[in-house]
Amino acid sequence: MQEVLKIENLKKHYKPRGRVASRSSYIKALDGVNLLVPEGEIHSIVGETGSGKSTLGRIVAGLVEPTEGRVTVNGIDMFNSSRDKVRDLRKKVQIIFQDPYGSLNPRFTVKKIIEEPLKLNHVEFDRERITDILRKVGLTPPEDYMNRYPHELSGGQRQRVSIARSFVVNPSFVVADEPVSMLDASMRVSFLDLIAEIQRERGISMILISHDISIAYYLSRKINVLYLGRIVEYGNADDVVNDAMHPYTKALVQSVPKLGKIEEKEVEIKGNIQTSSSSISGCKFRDRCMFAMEKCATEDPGLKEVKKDHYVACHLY
Amino acid sequence: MNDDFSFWKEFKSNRKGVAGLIIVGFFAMMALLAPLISPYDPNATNPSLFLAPSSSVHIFGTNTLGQDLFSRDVYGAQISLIVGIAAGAVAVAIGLVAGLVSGYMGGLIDEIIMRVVDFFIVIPAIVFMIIVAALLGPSLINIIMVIGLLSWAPTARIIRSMVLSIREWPFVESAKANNAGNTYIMFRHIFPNVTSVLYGNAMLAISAAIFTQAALVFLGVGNVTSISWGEIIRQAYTTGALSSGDMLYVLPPGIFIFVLIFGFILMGYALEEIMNPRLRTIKG
Amino acid sequence: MIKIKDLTVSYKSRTGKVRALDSVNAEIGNGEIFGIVGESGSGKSTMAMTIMGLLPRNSLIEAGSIEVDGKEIIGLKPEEARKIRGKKISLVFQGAMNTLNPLMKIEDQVAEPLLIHREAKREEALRRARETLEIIGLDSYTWKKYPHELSGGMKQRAVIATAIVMNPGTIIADEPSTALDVITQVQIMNILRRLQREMDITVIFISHDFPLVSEMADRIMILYGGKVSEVGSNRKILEEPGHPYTRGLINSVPTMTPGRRLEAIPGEPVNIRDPPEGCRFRPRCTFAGEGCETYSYKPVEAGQGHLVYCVKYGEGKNAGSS
Repeated sequence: MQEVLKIENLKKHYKPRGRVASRSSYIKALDGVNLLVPEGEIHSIVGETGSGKSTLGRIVAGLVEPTEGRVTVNGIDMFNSSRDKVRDLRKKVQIIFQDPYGSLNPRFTVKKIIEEPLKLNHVEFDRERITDILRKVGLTPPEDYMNRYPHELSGGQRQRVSIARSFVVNPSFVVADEPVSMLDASMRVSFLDLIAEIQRERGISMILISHDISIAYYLSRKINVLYLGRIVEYGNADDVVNDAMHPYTKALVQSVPKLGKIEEKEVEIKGNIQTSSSSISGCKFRDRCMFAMEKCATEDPGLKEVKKDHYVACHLY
Repeated sequence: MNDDFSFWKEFKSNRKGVAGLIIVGFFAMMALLAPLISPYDPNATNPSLFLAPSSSVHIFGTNTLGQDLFSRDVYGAQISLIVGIAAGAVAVAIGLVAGLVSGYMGGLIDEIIMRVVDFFIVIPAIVFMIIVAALLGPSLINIIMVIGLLSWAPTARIIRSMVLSIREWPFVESAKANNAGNTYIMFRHIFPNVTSVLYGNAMLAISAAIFTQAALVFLGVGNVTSISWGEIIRQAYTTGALSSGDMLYVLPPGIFIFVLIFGFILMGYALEEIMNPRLRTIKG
Repeated sequence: MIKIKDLTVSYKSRTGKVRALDSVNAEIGNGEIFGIVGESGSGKSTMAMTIMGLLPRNSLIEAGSIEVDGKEIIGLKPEEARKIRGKKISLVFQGAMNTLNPLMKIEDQVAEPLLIHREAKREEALRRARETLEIIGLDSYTWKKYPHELSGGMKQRAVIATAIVMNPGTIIADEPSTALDVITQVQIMNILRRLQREMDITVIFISHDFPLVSEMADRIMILYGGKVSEVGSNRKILEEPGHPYTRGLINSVPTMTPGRRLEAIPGEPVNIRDPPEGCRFRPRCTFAGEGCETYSYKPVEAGQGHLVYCVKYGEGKNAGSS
């Protein structure tokens, strides 16, 4: 099994704004993340706002430099290679943004938007390449859309353009950052299907970033649950969702709305996500955990393989 | 695209814009057709008509040299428009580039440009202009450059604040992720998105420049031999017409300055309303 | 009891008149949670705004009536309207937590409506504000805090407290949890449930999220393109959905059941600036056929209080089960 994306001990620390900061008060958006995505697979990163999931996506897309750690794609180090290699790598790694409004320049036509990554990366192309990808994402007939501006498209059509732009350069890796969360519910499944279809046909590897574990479950083979910059659970999608072990994962699964009236919803969790600083020792989830023990305050629970291919960072196991 | 078409349609339905355009158009015609409109050569002197009062032949009267004031008021539109538009263009051009670079590059470059902007906003510009213009000499080009170089700071500030928000938009990130360079992003992605405020801003810069030019001439800086509204008011002041209550000497150029400035300001507001998506009601 | 009859609301825009709600009927019983589901362009927020009298200036109520406890509220004089809105019905909307005054303590903000309506003097108002905050699950340590010192979830709770401090009979919650994290969302939902259960408040719960509404509501109304497409009890809607759109919504919910296939609804939400003739859902509907183009939205009664707005319903052609 060939891995396409390999992330080792990835850290990203931010200086808290407006304060004279000592090293210990740095915000640890990512605090030692490891990840392996093999060829042709979709893995998910699931977490709340503040979990560090978007930072992770932006690092993989080359938009943010990590504080520490290594990111390699097809064996090439993303941040410590020659300029030419990095440029070539960026062409192969594309990102799909969440916001179908902000991700398209309002002054560009659809044609110009989709041609941009090809031109910037000096790829030779003909008109057919543009019409093909437009057809692929369901904007048919392509001629009707080529000369339109974003404000002449609906939200769904914009997101199709955004997806077309990400796939037109034939990437080998794609970061999909909440690709459907701003779309109407009735369109979500068809967009997830579209992304999965292109991904499968072209054998692309992908990470899907989502706050919604049910969407991760639908699209991906493996799920990583991220909490305050650390992966707290990792395994096959089915195991993580239907045999959740970490109390946080359980809470996330319980929170997903299901069909049918409920009198009171029980979620075993307290408080809300806070910003972690390195002054918190031990388990970062312990303040919200119903099962916190003495050990949780002192010892950092590492990610352990508790069942086959199912890893959890929790002292309960 | 039918972008221009819809722009005109919207401009036409904007009352401020139409009023502004009529005013500015009126003065533009006045400047262009001055030789046809004015009954006399504005520079022709007549010693026998020393400060002649208003009459059917000289409706606004004459000045100390016996020059026809009405003709001079008509010709005065030329200088005001030329200096206003040229100096406004210089100010907006400098402000645009400074704002783009400052907002996009950030860090030390931003810090330096913004401190320069602060300097130009804080200094009493007119005093500074008097000194510079006096040093450089009062040619038309010098006056334009002095006004332009000293009034770009507000534009730079506005452009910078817009750039600060536009550069965070995902479409900029998407270009970055595809190896786009800084110059490319600044001029291909960000520039087209700030032009919307530029038009309105340019109108305001022009109106400010018209006023500044008149003020400078009134204070004796600038080319006192060329015909301009500021110069007519200055003469009125030095010859005592102001205190003797000769309103037809002072009021026409004063009103012209005021109305022309008002016309540009109206157009500025209209352009801002049309171009700025936050001020307009949601469409399509 | 809120009775909405033939409500038709439109907006004037540059490109012409846009009808956001078209002949909508609804009866909301006292003490129930009434869910309204709809995507963009469905008119769900227009409905909330109309009831609250908060429609923007370019809007027009073309027809219809809204009765609250037997009293018509459309066309009321401002001072009359004030007695109903805010006092009998109050609103919590999506970004409401951002409307808190950053310079005012939480307890003062919650007490404010009482002072504005001259319901109580300051002391009494503060006492009632604190009581309400406690009901909503905000402990005494938050009372004297300023908004920026609280999390998003806590701020949204404070907003709910402000909405119920006047003891309104009805609260309209328009996407009250949309900007919040999933876990916080559960807490907000539980508060709304408690208000209904313990304080007997009627909750009109509006959301784009069908499963979320189905977890909350006693009865559900589904809006599509400014029209009602189906209304009925929660159980009936889930077990015997009559409208193809409802079935589509149910079948596309990612429930995380192993082996369950999700079915996508084709196409995009209707553009209400240019709606299709007849049934609005027709271009996306797999059952569309004869009669749909001329459909006049005459409902079919599928059971007690269960109305389906589909011409194919009962014809046998639209009888697929979920």
